[in-house]
Amino acid sequence: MIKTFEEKSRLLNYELYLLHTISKAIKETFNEKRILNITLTALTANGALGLSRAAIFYYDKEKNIIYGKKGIGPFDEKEAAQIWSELSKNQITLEEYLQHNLEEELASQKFPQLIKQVIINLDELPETDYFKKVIVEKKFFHITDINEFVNLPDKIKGFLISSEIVIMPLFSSRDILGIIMADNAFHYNPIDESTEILISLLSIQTGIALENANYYNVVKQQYEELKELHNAMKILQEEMAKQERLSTIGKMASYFIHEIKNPLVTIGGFAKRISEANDLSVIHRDANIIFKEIRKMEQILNKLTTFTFLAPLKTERVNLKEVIEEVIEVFQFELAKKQIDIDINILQDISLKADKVQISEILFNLISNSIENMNKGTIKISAEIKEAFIKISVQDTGKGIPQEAIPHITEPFYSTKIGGFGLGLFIVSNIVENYRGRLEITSEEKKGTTVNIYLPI
Amino acid sequence: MKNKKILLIEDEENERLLYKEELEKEGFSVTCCENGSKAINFIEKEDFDLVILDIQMPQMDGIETLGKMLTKKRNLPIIIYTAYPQYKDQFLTWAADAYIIKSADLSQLKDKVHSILNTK
Repeated sequence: MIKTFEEKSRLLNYELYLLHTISKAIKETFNEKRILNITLTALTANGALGLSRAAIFYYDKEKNIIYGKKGIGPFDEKEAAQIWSELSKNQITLEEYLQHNLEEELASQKFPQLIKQVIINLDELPETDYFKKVIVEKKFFHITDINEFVNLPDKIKGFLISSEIVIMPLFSSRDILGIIMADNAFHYNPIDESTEILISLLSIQTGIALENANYYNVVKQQYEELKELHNAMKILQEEMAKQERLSTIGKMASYFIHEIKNPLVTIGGFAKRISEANDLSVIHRDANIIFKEIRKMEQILNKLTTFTFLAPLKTERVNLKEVIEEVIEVFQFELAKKQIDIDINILQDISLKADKVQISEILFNLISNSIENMNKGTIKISAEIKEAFIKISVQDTGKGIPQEAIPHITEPFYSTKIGGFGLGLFIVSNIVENYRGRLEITSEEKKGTTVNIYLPI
Repeated sequence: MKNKKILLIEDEENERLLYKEELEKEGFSVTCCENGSKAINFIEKEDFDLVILDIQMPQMDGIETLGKMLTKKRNLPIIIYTAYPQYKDQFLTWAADAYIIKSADLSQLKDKVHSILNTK
């Protein structure tokens, strides 16, 4: 049949409209059911491709089987007449039709039910079978001769009517997903070349949409899993922090576990190696490690005694500036690494009568706290004489201490950070108290902390 | 067969040495690092078969490290190796494949590594 130019262009316009409308509907969803519904509706709707019945089958590559996923359309003449008369009553646009939910209608119809029951094992099909050929050759077939029906699987033949059939592969970008089948039963309008092209384009759209939906679901699931993970992590972190802050016993346990158990594990491990080793150099090295770990434990115990016996042990005239400089020397590496400046403002000759080790301990703890709470910035250390006291100030530009934590900060084993043991300020406040001095802490979050210590001259 | 690769995260230097040498004796290839942020860098650049992680490390805490690792490699097997016995249940419900309490006797750790990596 020769079409005039006008007819041809009208047809082309219509086809473009169809493609546009269908692909827009498909792109708007990541829901597999919706995608299948739109595809099947587009194949069969009167205002669209106008085929009688359509079905989508999925291909399971591993098992090499094809199974019916979804079908639409009447089973026989009677059902066809009923469905089409109902559709013609409701004058709706294609856009509206593509949006409507098919599930209820399909549940009561025979053809969709039969499609869902189809399972075909490709291994059992002959090479001439069209279903097998679609999967293997990845080609489109348009069957017009009913004698060719012998080359279709038995389970499909059961509901065929003498009509034209198209069978085509459903592709994703990487793989074959299944088969789309459609026929022109009951109305027998011929399936022409332009319909063939439209069906092929529709099948490509569907394949891409199904693949995207799959990606979307995978990403969504990963997102949900990560969210769950993140929540679990938060809960555990909070619980650990709470347990550690809850009781002095809990805090002490944490302290001893970390400070004593770790060296013990190392000592025990290396001792066992020595008991099994023959090489003298290995034995020497391992014994040396054991020695160092034991020294570490001794130092920890010394630290514990520092806050158990806080009375001044050996009082002498202590030059404050000298002590501060000695303490800062210890932190040189960390100060440089974190780009922290030290600003000391003390008269050369300020001195006080005290135990030098304890004064060092105070300054060591205060400076160490400041460094831990900072990244870049300045620590100002100053001292001045105020009546009968020396006021020593350590002021940093660090992240500060939460207001609610300040009243507790000198309690033993109280720490605002996981992994902190909360002994530093406890030691400081006890030493200061022993000297009948006074401790003041002011802090503003994100701005910094100032600690003032008053010690009698 | 190529050696299975283990990433060990432990802040104590001597402990690191002990575990590294003992696991290498078992035939594993062991990469060590002393904190969580370095471990994350390693994970991004290299594929490991197993991670052994100490909770309560300086800088990036062990839990945070664990979270970040799982975000990057969801299926990476992880053994929590720690001095703290009290958090076992919480960890096993969501993240780690095993939770082992540190001991001078390393046989439990070695057995677990072998069983996770299917090497014995």
